[in-house]
Amino acid sequence: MTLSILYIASILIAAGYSLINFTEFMDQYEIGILILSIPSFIWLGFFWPSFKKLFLTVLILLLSAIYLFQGDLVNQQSNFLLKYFLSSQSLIMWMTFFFPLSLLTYIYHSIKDSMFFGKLGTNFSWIAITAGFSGLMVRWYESYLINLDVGHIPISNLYEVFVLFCLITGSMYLYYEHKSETKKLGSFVLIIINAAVAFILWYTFAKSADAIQPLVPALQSYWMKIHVPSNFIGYGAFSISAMIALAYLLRNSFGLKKILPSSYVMEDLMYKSIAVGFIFFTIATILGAIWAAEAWGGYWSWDPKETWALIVWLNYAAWLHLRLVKGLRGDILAWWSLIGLLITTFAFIGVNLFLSGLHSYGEL
Amino acid sequence: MRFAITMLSIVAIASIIGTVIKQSEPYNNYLIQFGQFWFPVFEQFDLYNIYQAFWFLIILLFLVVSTTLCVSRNTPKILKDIKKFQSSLTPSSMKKFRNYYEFKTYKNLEEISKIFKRQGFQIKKSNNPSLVIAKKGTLQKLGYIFTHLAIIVISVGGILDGNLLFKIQQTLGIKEVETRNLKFSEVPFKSQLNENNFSYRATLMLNEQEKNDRALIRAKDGYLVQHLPFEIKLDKFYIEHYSTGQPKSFLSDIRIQHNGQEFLKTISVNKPVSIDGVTIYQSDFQDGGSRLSLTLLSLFDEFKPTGLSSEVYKQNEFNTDNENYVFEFDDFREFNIFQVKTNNALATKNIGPSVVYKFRNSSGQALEYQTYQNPIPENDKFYFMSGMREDLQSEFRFLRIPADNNLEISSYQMFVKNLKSDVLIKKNINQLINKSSFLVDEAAKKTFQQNTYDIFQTFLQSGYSGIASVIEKSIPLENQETVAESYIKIIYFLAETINQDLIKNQLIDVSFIQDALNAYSDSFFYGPSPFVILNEYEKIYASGLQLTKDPGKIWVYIGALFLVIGIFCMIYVQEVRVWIIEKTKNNYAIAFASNREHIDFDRFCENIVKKINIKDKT
Repeated sequence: MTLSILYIASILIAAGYSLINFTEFMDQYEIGILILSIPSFIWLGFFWPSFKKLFLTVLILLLSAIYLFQGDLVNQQSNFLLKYFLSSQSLIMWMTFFFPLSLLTYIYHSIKDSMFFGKLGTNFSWIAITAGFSGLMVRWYESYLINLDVGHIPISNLYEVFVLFCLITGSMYLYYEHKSETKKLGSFVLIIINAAVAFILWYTFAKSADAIQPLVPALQSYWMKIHVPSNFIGYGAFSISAMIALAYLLRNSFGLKKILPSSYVMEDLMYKSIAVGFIFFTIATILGAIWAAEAWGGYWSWDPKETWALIVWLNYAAWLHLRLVKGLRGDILAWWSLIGLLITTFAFIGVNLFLSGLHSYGEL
Repeated sequence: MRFAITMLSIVAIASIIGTVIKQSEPYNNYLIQFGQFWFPVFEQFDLYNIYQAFWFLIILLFLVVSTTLCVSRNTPKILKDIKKFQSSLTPSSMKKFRNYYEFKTYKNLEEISKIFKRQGFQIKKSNNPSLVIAKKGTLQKLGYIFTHLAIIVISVGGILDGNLLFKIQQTLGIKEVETRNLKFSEVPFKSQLNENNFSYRATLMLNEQEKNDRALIRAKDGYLVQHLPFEIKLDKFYIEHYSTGQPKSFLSDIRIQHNGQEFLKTISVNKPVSIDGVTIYQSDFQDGGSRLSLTLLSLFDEFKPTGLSSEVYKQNEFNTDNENYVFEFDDFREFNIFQVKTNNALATKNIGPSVVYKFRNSSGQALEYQTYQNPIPENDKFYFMSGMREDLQSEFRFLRIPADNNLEISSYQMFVKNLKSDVLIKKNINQLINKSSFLVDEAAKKTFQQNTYDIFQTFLQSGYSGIASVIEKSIPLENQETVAESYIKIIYFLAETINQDLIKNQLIDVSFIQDALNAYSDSFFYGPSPFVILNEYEKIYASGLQLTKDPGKIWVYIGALFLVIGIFCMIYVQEVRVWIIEKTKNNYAIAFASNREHIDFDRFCENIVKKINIKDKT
């Protein structure tokens, strides 16, 4: 109860403070988004009670970082806490530390059936997403410290969206884990998250891609704040379903019955994550079209990214159609969702790697 | 259905092909890419404009028609279903359901029905007094109608904005694509579209102070001219920058004349302006004919520096004794943003203007050059940079001329002049000989003098590569390295002594000498163009506008809204049917059915049954 009050109060105070002090940095649409995010966050906190703790912890870490920065980026070199814990760079590095740890403990939990390690895996994942979300929030603040006109939400390049992908996939997994009361899928879902973590590390150390860059003109729009996150809820959900599909197929063909939940539970989770992913992916694509109409002068230009989004959409539309209308179950859908991940991955990074087009912000 | 799926798959595959083959490029690029044999084959299937291909549009049209038929056939049935209650069941067939419960309670049927009502169920009493039928979530079925309707509405909107109308006119021979490079006013009527054209996406490139009431539509290997309902004049195009120099926004001040009224508007990326159903976007920019004031500098001191004034897109003749060349200025960039290394840290910086030009000889061959105005910092030194390449596919190779301590090129000019002075060379060789104690007799001195002079002349005539070929020809392999070293030392020593005055006057540091020698030697690979120094400029921009008329957009958005509603209904509204039967007094059986049964549904049923029982106890 106290937690709920604290949660709602801090949302209201944070939003209110921003509305009073920062309106000069927002246009009317961004103010609208901020106001709408108040009920959305409150709803999210009640839909998924653990989110409240996540929110409050992230808020505390963010405020501590802001306090320690004292309005100057130079302090991240000199201040011990900032340098090793609270600057966005270190927070994200902590995320990349705890996700692999979580995977290892989940695997141990699955093999040895150790409750303790299961809980440990969950906790490590929680630490990872707390650090990651705080990292993005602090990064948002840091971008304004570079220069007021550079400041922007950190979902604007490949590095930032990979972090976002880890966080959204991780959060959704933790939600499903809580709902389905099994921790045995952790060792599968965490694989795809850790693949993204590996990419982030390579991208950081080999390409120094972690530097905050100002936004190119095409990305300076309030649409980014809603288009990108909803897209990544889609990508995250599709990835989770694919990893569950993998578990499902392994269970049925390699006799891993002991260490995995029942087919019924896995099928159900597969469906649920594809369903939620599909809705968000649809919304994201529509928002993208509306944005494109405003930025590029056409809601649909058959740009490679758009076209591949359509293909991803058709793929999961077919999946849902087969399940909901034709009543199909079992291996075929699992295989389909696994192959769906390849298509999704190509739409996510393959297009940026191999094809050229308007979505060229995330080139390697 | 099977046919529809096949068609949908073809659309998907065609779409993928369209992402792999870059669309709407100039046809020449495809010819180069695919070769003589495959180019016409792919062209036959319209693979270069696949999304506008006739067959592609026909398949889309077919999908729309078949979806429409499907919806119109199923909708009445679904609406009926929504209203209708399911029929009654016998107790024995109820037992077959996955969620079937039997229990005893002191509540009567009426009270149990109330519990269901509170959960949002509709209740229907049957003729049988001991049977109650309930249902909920029938809106799920609307999901079908909404999603399919959405696909139709979106497609119709898309077709409205597509170029189907033009395609038909083209097939009938009323309109045709113009492929020749003509002025707008010379384009024949057949390739012009009037301002009542239903929908289009056209582009217009305007120089500053230029105006036009026609725009260009790219189509296949040519274009069409679109008449606009207004006239646009570009007052000014400008770029705002971040402090690092990266562009922050591209803006155009435009002046629109429409029905005798004038509108002054500023457009930028993400902030278009709409007038009379046409939306104007900032989509591109290029040079609009900037005025340049240049100095041409001979890299080998063959002529005195000469002035040249030109403009971008203009050509200037340049004649030497044995060849007539033409300068073709292609571009002038006021800002060049680079990662520059200063004090061992990379920083993003604007390094200033550059000019791009081709230098063409009388037989038509051209080299391309890009020259920067300002000296560019590199490891705490500064260089005047100019790149040259033989063709557009290769990278620029850069000539790096060291800047002197005043950051000017004049000391390098002086350096070359001194190197080429026979008097200075001979004087310094003699000094060298006088200092060298190992040269005792006159004959040795003479040979040394002659050899040194020859080496230096070789360098002056062909650079280090000339020295290398001399060594390769005349020196045994095992001695080549030592000889090369000593030759390089001699050249360096002479160059340094010859240019003592420059060092004394603190115009250059000693480190300048090696850089300058390298630059001189590299000049032999720079091609025939003199070095271009940019003195002054007046930047003139051209702004690329896009003009879109898309009356179908609103339908696409309405369709998109339907789609979201439809998917939501289909996934998150659960249709539940319930039969409650009182078998004997206070003994009940309940069967739950849903077209989508999963874990949540089991829980949902359990919860309701619990509710019936819990209330019972209190």
